[in-house]
Amino acid sequence: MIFTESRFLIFFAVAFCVYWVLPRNRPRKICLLALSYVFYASWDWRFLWLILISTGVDYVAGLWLERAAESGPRKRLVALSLVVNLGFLWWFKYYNFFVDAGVGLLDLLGWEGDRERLHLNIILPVGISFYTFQTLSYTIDVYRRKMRAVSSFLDFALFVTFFPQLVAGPIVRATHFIPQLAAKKLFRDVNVRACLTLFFFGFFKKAVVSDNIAPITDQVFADPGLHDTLSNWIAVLMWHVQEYCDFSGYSDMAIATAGLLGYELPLNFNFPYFARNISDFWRRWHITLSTWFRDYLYVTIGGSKGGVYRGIMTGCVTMLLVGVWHGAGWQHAGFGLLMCGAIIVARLWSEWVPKGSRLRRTATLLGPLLINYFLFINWIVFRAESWDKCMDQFRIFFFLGGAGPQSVDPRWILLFVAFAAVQIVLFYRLYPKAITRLNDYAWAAVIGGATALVLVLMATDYQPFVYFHF
Amino acid sequence: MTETLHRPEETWPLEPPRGPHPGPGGAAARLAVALAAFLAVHLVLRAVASPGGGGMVGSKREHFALAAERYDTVFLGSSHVYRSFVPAEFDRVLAEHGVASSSYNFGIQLPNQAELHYLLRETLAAANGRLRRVFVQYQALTPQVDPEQAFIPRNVYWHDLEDTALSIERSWAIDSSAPGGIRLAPDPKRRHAILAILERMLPSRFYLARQHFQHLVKREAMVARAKDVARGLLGRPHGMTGMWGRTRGYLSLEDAGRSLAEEGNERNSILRRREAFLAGHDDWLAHIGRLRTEDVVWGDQEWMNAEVERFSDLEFYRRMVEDARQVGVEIVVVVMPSNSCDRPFEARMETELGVPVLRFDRPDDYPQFYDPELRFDSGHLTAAGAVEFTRVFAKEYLSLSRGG
Repeated sequence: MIFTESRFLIFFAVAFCVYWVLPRNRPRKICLLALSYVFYASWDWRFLWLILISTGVDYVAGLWLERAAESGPRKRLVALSLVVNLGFLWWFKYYNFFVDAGVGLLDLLGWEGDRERLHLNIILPVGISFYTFQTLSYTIDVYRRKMRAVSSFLDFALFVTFFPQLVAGPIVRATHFIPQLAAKKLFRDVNVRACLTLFFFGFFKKAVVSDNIAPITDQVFADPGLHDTLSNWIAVLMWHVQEYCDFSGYSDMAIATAGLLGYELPLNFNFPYFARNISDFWRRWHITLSTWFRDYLYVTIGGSKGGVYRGIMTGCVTMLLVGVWHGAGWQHAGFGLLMCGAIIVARLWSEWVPKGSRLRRTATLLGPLLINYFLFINWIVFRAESWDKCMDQFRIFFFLGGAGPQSVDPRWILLFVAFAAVQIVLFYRLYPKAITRLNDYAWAAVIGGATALVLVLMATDYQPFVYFHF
Repeated sequence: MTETLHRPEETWPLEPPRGPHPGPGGAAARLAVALAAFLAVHLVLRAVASPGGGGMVGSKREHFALAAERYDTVFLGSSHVYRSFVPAEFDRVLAEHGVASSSYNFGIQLPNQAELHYLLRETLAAANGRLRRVFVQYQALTPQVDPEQAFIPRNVYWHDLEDTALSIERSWAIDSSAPGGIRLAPDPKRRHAILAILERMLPSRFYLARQHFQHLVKREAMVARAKDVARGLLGRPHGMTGMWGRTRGYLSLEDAGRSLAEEGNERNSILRRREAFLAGHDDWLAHIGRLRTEDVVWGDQEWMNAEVERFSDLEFYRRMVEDARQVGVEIVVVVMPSNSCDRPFEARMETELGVPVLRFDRPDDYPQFYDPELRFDSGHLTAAGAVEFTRVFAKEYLSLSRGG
């Protein structure tokens, strides 16, 4: 059930009505939990047990952590939670990758490994990377005594499975969400207009922009060698737009649907393509993931304490794991490695180039351009379907030949220009202020008319969200 | 609002409500304004959009809408019709026998019977009384329910209220009457999805009805019609619309293959079909042999949508016959020289609907149409075969119309 599908719109309309008709908080939460399980089962009912085990283990671990006073048992409990949650993640997401890597290594050493026999015929449970990190953050926060354990299983289960953010985030922290479950929800507190506007924006980004671009990027990335340099460039530019619109569109819709139910989810994107440097990019892109890694990994292994080189090392470890979080494949590790390279350059730059120097001022000015160019290169690795195809695309991208005929209409560049223009207008607030002060009737007319237009502009068919694969 | 939504470093919630929510009356008024704006924009878009249905179908519809007054005869059917009727040849033969005709080949690839009914209705309406005769192909093709293809423009455009209702009604009737119902292959991507499982527990007619209804909604909301709207706004016809004016809807497979080859696609699917046909000719002849001895033979399996068992439904033809006769248009059913047949059904069309049926699915009667000289592939004729077929067909029709 994808947010842009009519099935979801019907599902949500029913959920919204039933939820607000119920008189008290507890039945509402039970209703939300049941709906969340139905929502997850609409992907694949077989993996409900996985969520239930994850929920159960962390719920019990949280309660025991609360009771345990000594350091030893507390460490064992948090280790148990890590092993179970990361174990599931490893099994479903990384097992086959490690088999391939191990067999490859054996091949290099002259032993022949039976890859097929060791491979597991398993599919990746949708959302596993998201809810695993969510439950882990809870156990770690209770372990660090940043929050008290949740005594209500209902509240905890709802925190894990709350359907607006269950399958692709934002990754919500227990410290952020659990207190909201205790508060009584009043419909009058819901900013319906703001939520509907945000949902509309998210819908537009996904159904109109991302879904219409998908066939082009799919075609070129499937075999870059069959297309010329211009087509490959356009595909990379289009992926730049698609990736952002797809994921931030999903996040907008998740935040909006949660908002309509009276819950607040954290911001996940904040104009990432206007970032001035790599650290700034990660403060703006998939914010809930980068802050998760910052708080639970980067800081834990030392952060920037201990000097520049230590900071570089911790930064690189974090970036490598951020890359691998996205998927089990060399391209995701490569994505992480490129990010490591960027971290190293950025750290050394800030260390060696004096503040206030002309060079530094120029680099700051050119920062967004450099970051975007770096991302183009990074997307080639990130989006590649195999290492060979990745290398093919690099060769063609940098005009080193080997390209096929032109296959993509150059007019698609106009879409990139339009996307950049809209982003600039929004970022620098170059729109008339009257737009922000429309009365309700004018707003209703704009949304009504725009909806008619969006239906026409939608792609023929739904495309799954890119981040469902992660 | 927009400012708050996108303010850098701003976190949700966007902004507190400025005042109390409107009461039910206020909410209804705002909703009414939104609906009115929706309708206003929608009606403008609808007025400017060029015909939908995708490239070839859209262009054939567009040409006929623009030039309906030029034609008094229409051939309606699948690609068998598209590749077999040469309008100029048909008109020439009729003229030789003193019958005036100006014909248009409205054959399109893989239509189902409800789609043909829609196109017939549209054709009759556009011709506005000028149409004299229509030849409708009988070919048992299945409803399009392939989940991968479910919402392509081609499957959506013909779902107006009348044909959606007819499709739902017939899905219901067929599913109930067919032994074991209509068999739906489960979508492999949704095999374990709870809603798909629940849906599979219901008779498949529910699935079909839902899908037809979704098509109706998509059609009426003009979902994914951006290209058609842009064409309409810019005054640019579909790519092939101009060509249909010259060829009157006909294009031989050889020309289509050559055109693809000139575009750089030398190993294109059309030419590969020809090669495959010649390579497997003996097997094909063995299959054709069954047409001599059996009453019901299904061929062209590679075309068929395996989701639903194929069927022949008299009701669609009954509606077509009634619609044509209601406006005084002569209707004749044509069974093309294909590699399948359903002779009991062909007979029922004659006896129960009283419609003349011209049959070319008998290799003994028309051996030339089963010869590789005139046959391009398992289902279609070559350019020479099309001319020959049109000539034979025109004579058969003349004989029929003169009571022969």
